Amino acid sequence: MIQQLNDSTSEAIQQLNDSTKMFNLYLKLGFEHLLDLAAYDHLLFVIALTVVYQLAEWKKLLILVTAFTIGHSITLALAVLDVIQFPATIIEWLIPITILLTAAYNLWTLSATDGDSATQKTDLNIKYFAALFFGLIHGMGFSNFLKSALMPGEEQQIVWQLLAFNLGIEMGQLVIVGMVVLINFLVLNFLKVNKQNWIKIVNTLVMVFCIWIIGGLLE
Amino acid sequence: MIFFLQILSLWLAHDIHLTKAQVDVNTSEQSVQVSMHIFLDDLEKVIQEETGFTEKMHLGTEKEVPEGDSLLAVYLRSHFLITANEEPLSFSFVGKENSQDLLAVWCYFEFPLSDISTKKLTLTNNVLMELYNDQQNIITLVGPNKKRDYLLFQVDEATASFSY
Repeated sequence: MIQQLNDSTSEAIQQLNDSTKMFNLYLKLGFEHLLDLAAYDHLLFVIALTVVYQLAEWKKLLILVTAFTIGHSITLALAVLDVIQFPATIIEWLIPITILLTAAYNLWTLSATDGDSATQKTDLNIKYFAALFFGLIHGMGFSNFLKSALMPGEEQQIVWQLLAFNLGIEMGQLVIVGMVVLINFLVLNFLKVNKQNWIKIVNTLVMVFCIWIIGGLLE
Repeated sequence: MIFFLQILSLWLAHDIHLTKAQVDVNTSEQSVQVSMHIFLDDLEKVIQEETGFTEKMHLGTEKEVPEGDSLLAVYLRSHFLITANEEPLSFSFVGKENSQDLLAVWCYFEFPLSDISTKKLTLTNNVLMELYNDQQNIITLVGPNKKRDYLLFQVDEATASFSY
């Protein structure tokens, strides 16, 4: 009796141990996927989304990043659970377009951000909506990667794999947001670069990289 | 039309630099059995670079060159290694089949394991790593006692151990 109990306990412990290892693997895959410099599209988007903010505006940043996260979590889950299917080739095109639009919008509204509070409010609402909507598109991109990382025969683990991968992406996102805030702070306060010029420089660079990505797709 | 779509999707497919494999330690058959999923375009590219085979190989299609499997085996033999008790196990190619979407192949190979009292294997998996420095290879290991482990192989850490 005690032997049996011991056996089933050690079995349960082993299973828990195995699941933790699996969770760690997918967490790592998600984290590194977002920070992968060779596939920098998601990274560029997070930069474009957050570059106009400073630490004092952390509430706006938090809402913006949360909106993006909700968006990509929804489509990532739906695609991985096979509820919906997206053609990879279209997503490929849509992702750089979302980045391009975000950077272009940042440049477009540059003069408006110092305007009256009503304009600023509209600007923010547009941004939250865009972050959510573009999040949906990026989630489809994440799903293509995660799907190719799932092993046949592990279907019963899928919710954990999905959760771990998504959590890894969040952690990657937070690293990028943290770096953007830090670099912004250093550039604006120590190098004394004018904020408007800085936003122009970064967003122009982001747009150049997007055109680069689109050029690669056309090739 | 299907052929055209296949070419188009090969062309536009996002660069996913990832292979996945399941490795089963099968003590009753005295072998370590591997099934590994590799994207075809990368595989063909890397085999040509490594073996100097210049002809188009058409791996995984009806037009596959007769040397296809043996070139694939030559490549995998030197990039997927297993040692037990510091002794390298010998590689033997079993076969391959296309993945459902035809973009990848499942490669099957095994390593005879004469000493079934082995409790620890060391694996090296640097498949495709000479092609991309962000290449990631993941492995699910299943021991004879059903104990599992999940390993990630990357350029800076292409070797890992599994105890069961």
